[in-house]
Amino acid sequence: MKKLIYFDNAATTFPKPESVYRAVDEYERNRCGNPSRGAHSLAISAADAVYGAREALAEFYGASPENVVFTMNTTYALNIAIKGAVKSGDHILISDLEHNSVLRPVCAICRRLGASFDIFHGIGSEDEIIADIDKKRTDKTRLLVCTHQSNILPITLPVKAIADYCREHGIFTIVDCAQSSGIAKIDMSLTKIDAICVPSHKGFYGIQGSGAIIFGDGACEDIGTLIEGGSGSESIPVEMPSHLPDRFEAGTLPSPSIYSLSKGIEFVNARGVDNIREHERAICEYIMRGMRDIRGVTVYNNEAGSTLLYNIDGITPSDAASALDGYGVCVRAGLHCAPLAHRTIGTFPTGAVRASFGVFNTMKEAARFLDIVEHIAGGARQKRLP
Amino acid sequence: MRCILPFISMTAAQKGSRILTSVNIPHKIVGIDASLTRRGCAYGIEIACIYADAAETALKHRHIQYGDLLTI
Repeated sequence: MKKLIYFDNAATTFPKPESVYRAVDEYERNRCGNPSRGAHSLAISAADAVYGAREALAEFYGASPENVVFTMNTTYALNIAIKGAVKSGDHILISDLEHNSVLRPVCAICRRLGASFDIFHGIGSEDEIIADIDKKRTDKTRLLVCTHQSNILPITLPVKAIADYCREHGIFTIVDCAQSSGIAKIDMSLTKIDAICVPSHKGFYGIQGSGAIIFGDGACEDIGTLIEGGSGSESIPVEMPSHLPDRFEAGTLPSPSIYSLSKGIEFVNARGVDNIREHERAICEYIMRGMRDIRGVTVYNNEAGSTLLYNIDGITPSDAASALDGYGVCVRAGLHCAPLAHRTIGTFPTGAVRASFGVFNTMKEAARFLDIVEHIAGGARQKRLP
Repeated sequence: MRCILPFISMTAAQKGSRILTSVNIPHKIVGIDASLTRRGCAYGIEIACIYADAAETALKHRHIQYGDLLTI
């Protein structure tokens, strides 16, 4: 296999730490009972592994382990939280940087329940963003959902200030941390965020197949269930149990992925969240500087971070990504499941090419990437010459 | 005779188990027969009855919720 340059870490991180690969293998061979389903040794071993992941996530986000609800991915987590929080006639606010994992469930629940939503501007100073939220808020606003960090550009929303504002006005706050997981910490004990949704397979370096909602203390008393079924506890009533996490964990959990998540978080904590973020930022900055000297390349970033968004004149994003793939470079082109965010930054409907970085990327890869982009851009210019 | 501290879920039992481990009280997580609860499947922590007082003290100290001690 040729040596790949993997710059698609915002979609899913690759490779995973060795400790994660080993953990999945060990789990499947030796521990893979069904957690919270019976009390034999393998079921208890599996439950112990899952609880370890709850503890790891809870510690990362300053929450209690029982407030960590495991799901199949971030989208499931957002659907459970959003659809459980909305009631008929409610008004919802979302930012203009949202992924379809927020936009689509919000649109669907609004159609289903006769609720409505508005979009606030997520780019600007904290005061400007809060002012726009205030402008869009109505006396029926009951829910605000926003991303912590955009999946196309390194733009971070001031979620603490947003949650403070929302608590003051009786608005339930859900934060999508799909892109910030592993590179930015939030202490829920110090914020008024009601629910955070995260994946296992991005910045926490677990394998695909699980995600989680981390609820603030007492936050989910009025949240209805989206999925019902076996919970492993309180099996006689026809309703789901009222207690967390069982209330929202119907059916068998993706425990191998959840166990990998705990090992991934161990890895992230050992490397240091700030160190990982700075490593990714430095690679991005190096490439951004290099791209300034390449004719025909437009970079959309205002600053460096974990993602870099660009286009090459005369070549579509998908053709540019395809050309990169020919050199063994993995990036993602198009709208990145975030048409709303692309409209906001002016790259809709064409989209752009996104390079996104992880802890295992190197400056050598960044230099090679620049050479390849320069070559592709040069080729595109040649084609345009009469 | 066995002493069992009941918990509402496996997660709650795991949390209790971590506490008892930290204070060196030997224990194991067990299933509780559905006939002993009014709401069906539940989990408990089984301990030797001589540790019952110490276990309850440790759990209460950490504000861990559990049900009435079962002696079987």
